[in-house]
Formats: sequence, C-alpha cells, structure tokens
Amino acid sequence: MSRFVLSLHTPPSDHDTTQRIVKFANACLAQGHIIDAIFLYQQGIYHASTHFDLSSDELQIPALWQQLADQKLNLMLCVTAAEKRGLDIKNTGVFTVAGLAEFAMLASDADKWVQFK
Amino acid sequence: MINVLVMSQCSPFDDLNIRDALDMTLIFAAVDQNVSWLFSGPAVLALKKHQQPNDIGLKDFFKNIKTLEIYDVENIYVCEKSLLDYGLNKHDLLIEAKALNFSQQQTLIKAQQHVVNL
Repeated sequence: MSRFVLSLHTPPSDHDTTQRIVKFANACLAQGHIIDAIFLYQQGIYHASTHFDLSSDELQIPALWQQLADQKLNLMLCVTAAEKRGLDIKNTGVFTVAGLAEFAMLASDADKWVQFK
Repeated sequence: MINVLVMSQCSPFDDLNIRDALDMTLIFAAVDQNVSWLFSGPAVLALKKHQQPNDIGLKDFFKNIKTLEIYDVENIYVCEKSLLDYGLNKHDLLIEAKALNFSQQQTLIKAQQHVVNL
C-alpha cells in the first residue's frame, strides 16, 4: 500500500488528461492505496468551475469529480492559481480551496506524486 | 526531509510556467524540504540578466527569482548544453547556478523522491 498525491495541470477541455487522472485515481483506490489529495494547479483549476453547460453526449466532467468526492477523496484547488485566472473561489463545487503550502506538506509525506498534464 | 526537484523546460514568457515553478520551489523550501530547480531548454532564458518585462506590460518576476538566494535555495541547476544552445555563459546569469551535463542531470533526478515538471 502506498500513499499518493495527484496534481492536475490541464483545463477541462483536455478530455484525455481528465480521464487519465480519474481512471488512475479509481485504480489506486481499487488496489487499496491511499490518495491524500488531488490538487488542481495551473490551468487545472478550471475543473472547479460551477458553470459547465454540457450536452448529454459530452464527457460529463463535473459528474466524474462528484463520483470521486463521493468516495471521500480530498479534492483541493490552489487558491493563488484560481485567483490569478478569475475563478470564483467562493463557488468551487466539490473542491476545497487550499494553499500551495498545504499541498507541499501532503506531497512531502506521500510516497508518490503523480502529475497529469 | 525529502529531495524534491522542480524541472523547467518552458521559456520565461510561456504562460505562467516559470512563475509557477518559482512558487513551487519557494514553497517546498518554506516547508523545510531539500528542493532543487533545474532549468533546461528555453527555460534557461529565465535566468538571463538585464531583461525588462515591464516594457511589454509584464510583471518583473526576474526580481522574484533573485529572492531564491534570500530564502537559502541554493540548489539551482542549468543544463550545460542548453546554455550553449542559447549562447549564454555563467556570467550572463541572474543567480548562481551549477551547469550540469546530461549524466549529472540523470544523477540529480535519481536522487529525488519527487520530481515535478512545470
């Protein structure tokens, strides 16, 4: 059993990276590993937007995150990255607003940090 | 204490990548980890002296790069080959950085617990 932190650096328009991180997270949990945090950084912060308007045949990004949140996963976003990009940090859905220092401390305690970009 | 390496391969004016890498480096230093920063490819230009980003309406973040010395971040590395590619030598650089060949870069990467590309 290992402890992971995952960071996501690409926006929701990058469907491939989005699906890779979600599948990786589910595979980790299925194998009994622990994920201490998924951290949205750089363009990844847009995943915390609550303004998605997707037709039903699109990849349902908010639903993917909701499904991970339902498994009590710690979903965080970088407050500085979000503020710089104009995201409403009072409405971030299933994501919790956090500082880079909080993530750095979690990463320091983790066995593996996997970046998705 | 763990070893963390931040790797930069983007030019200083490509999005916020260099500034995000700087933040990441400073934050790992702030939480008392042994952090290193490696510049390669166009990222070596982030260490070039005498740049005036204000003239094109950008924040002068080269000033912030200089603060690494104040925060005791001493493990700053540059790819020796990339310096040559961009016609730079150690005297053109803003801060003290150690030039590494490919095999030294491999050794550096192997010594890390975490490596992050920004």
